[in-house]
Amino acid sequence: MNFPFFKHHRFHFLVEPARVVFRVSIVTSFLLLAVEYLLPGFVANWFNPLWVLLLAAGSGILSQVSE
Amino acid sequence: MRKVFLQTLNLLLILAAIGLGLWLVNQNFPAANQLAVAATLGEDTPMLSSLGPPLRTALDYPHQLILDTPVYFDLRSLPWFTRARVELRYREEGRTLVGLAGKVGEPWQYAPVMPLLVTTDEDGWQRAIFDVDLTNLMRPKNVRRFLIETVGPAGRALRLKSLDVTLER
Repeated sequence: MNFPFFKHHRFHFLVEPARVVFRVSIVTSFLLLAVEYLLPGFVANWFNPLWVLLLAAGSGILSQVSE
Repeated sequence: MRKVFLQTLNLLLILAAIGLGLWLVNQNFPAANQLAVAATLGEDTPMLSSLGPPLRTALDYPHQLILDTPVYFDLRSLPWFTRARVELRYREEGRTLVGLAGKVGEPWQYAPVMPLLVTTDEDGWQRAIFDVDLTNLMRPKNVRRFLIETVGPAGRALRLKSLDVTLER
């Protein structure tokens, strides 16, 4: 199967987007945890902010993968 | 192409994060100035805990039995909600409801709240409505503790059908 969109680049489907996901999700999780610390229940009454931190951890590990 | 893809992804994620923040603000500052919370009996939910202590309550699905007095539950609400309307639907099976109490001090100081209204519905279930001023109560980490007081001989139960809290600003 040919992907002309990415053919001429060595695009790592998981690694490079993971870097972007990590950058956004780590900042988001710190902001959510800071808000949750100042106003307990503001975030955690609706969903657990640790899920975003877990996403940051997962994508952070994935972004370090090299061939 | 790759750069465009990554930039688009970045933009989408940032927009999603901003949307998440706006959604949270919208949830916590409801436009109607009221927030209704219903307890899932026997289960802890983020805002309302289950009834405790375990030995004084029993779960008779889908109802909860209150076997001894007092039992407690916790409510986590944000400081701008200053009043709460607590509605209990129950049936007295040898144990009668006295009232509700909110914790005002350590270790065991509670301010009793008498029901505003007690009615009996057509289906035989009773309904008690309490109006609680949340500003006087202790709130470590925004968690307020309430007691449900009942009176009756040991082993007799009060069958609880639902516990609903409406927070008001």
